[in-house]
Parts: sequence; C-alpha cells; structure tokens
Amino acid sequence: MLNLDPDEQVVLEVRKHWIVFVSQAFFLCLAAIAPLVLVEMVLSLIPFKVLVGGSAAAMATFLYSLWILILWITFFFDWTSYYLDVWHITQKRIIDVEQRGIFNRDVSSIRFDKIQDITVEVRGIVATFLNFGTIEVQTASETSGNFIMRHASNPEAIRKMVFSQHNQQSERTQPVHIVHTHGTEPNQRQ
Amino acid sequence: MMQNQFLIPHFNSIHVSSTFLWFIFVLFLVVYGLLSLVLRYHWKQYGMNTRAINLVQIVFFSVSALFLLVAGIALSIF
Repeated sequence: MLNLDPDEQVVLEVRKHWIVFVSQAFFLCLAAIAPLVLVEMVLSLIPFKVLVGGSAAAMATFLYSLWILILWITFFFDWTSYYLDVWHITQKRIIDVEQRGIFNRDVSSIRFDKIQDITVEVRGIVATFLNFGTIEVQTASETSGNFIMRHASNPEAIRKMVFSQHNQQSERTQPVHIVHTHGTEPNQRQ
Repeated sequence: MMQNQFLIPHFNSIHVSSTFLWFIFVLFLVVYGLLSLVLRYHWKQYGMNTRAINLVQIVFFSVSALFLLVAGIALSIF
C-alpha cells in the first residue's frame, strides 16, 4: 500500500520493459513443452521399469497437468515480482518500490526538491529499438541514495516527466504572509 | 573384490498405484493452495486494486481450476 498525501496523486507508473518479463516467460514455455520431447529419452535412461497400475495415458495426463500448474504458478510469481517492482511518480515525489523476488520488498521516496540530476543510458541495438534503458535519479538526500531502474521502459519520457513535475513543483506559487507591525493592515499576496 | 550390495538401493521396477497418485495430488493441492494465498496476499496488499491485478486474479484462478479439474478427472480415470 502507498501512503500518499490527501492532495497527492500518482501521475505515472514506471516499470521495467516488457521484454524483461517475456524473456523469463520464454523459458517457462520451453519447460512446458520439454516433457513432451524428453519423456521417451528419460524413460529409456532410468535403470528400472515403471509398472503402472492403471491407464498410462491417464497418469501421463495427470502428471503433465501438475507440471503445467507448477509452471503456471511460477509464471505468476515472476509476473508479480515484475509488476510490483515500480516507480510511482506523483506531483510531489518519486516513490521507489523495489520488489526483489516475492518476499523482499523495499519502499523509499524522494521529493523533487532533493533531485540533483537524472541520467538515462540506453545501450545496445535491442535496447535502442525497443526503447528501454537504465535511468538514474541522483539525489541530495543522505538517507535514500540514488534511485536506479535498469531496463526501464521509455526512459527518456520518464526523465522529461520527472523534470516537468519538478518544474511545476518549484513554480507553484506559495502563499506569502506579510505582517506589518507599525499600524498598517496585514497584506496577503499570492 | 567383494561388492557391498547394501550401500545402493537396488530395484528393477517401481509400481505406481492409484493411492500413490492421490497422495501426490493432495500434497500438490496443499502446496498450491499455500502459494496461491501468498500471491493473493501480494495482489491484495500491494496491487492497489488496479484493473490489471483484477484481471490477473481471474485468469490465474480460472486456468488453475481448469488444470486441477483435468488432473482430477485423469486421476479418476486412472
């Protein structure tokens, strides 16, 4: 759960590029078809006979269903780690949720006035064509350090968005109360 | 040279019975249920109730139910 201020809203969510997740899912697809290819080979290698006390086809269907279910839940564990590893950019700050695996989660945030610079690095032909790269937010904060997201989708747009929010934040007019102490009326300017 | 026949278990065949498969199925259901709870907790707690999370929950549980049904039917036929 995010603890946002009452007047704060998420304007952008930044995640890693979908290719990161798809490359993980690709190996699960290979694992799904592996038993269909390898079962004969494995059965010929094991040094004992398997005596099935029933329909062999039914047993194969049963075991294959369980195998697919194992891969299915692995897929969703991967997806959950991918989906919950996110930067929430609000009007006031960046909230960095680092989800490493399913049980390891860190949340930190940095206000725009603490941001010193943002660097974007797009390396390689695949990253250039698919438009993903590393984005690093350098902060003046001693506690939170720099924010880094690797394989972030559309990093240049993120940089522009953060600068835009940063500028809006700094240009937002603040009410100034001028107090006159020598008999004149107090004045309020915006 | 004498060979020690008791170090390595030696068998020519294993017998797969219906009881053994049902045991595997029940064990699998327990583990699967626990892992599903872990996923559901994360989706509920951190997913911020987005459309994507709701859709993912429907897909996950409906496809899981389908494969569990297939496994159950296969086991019944066995």
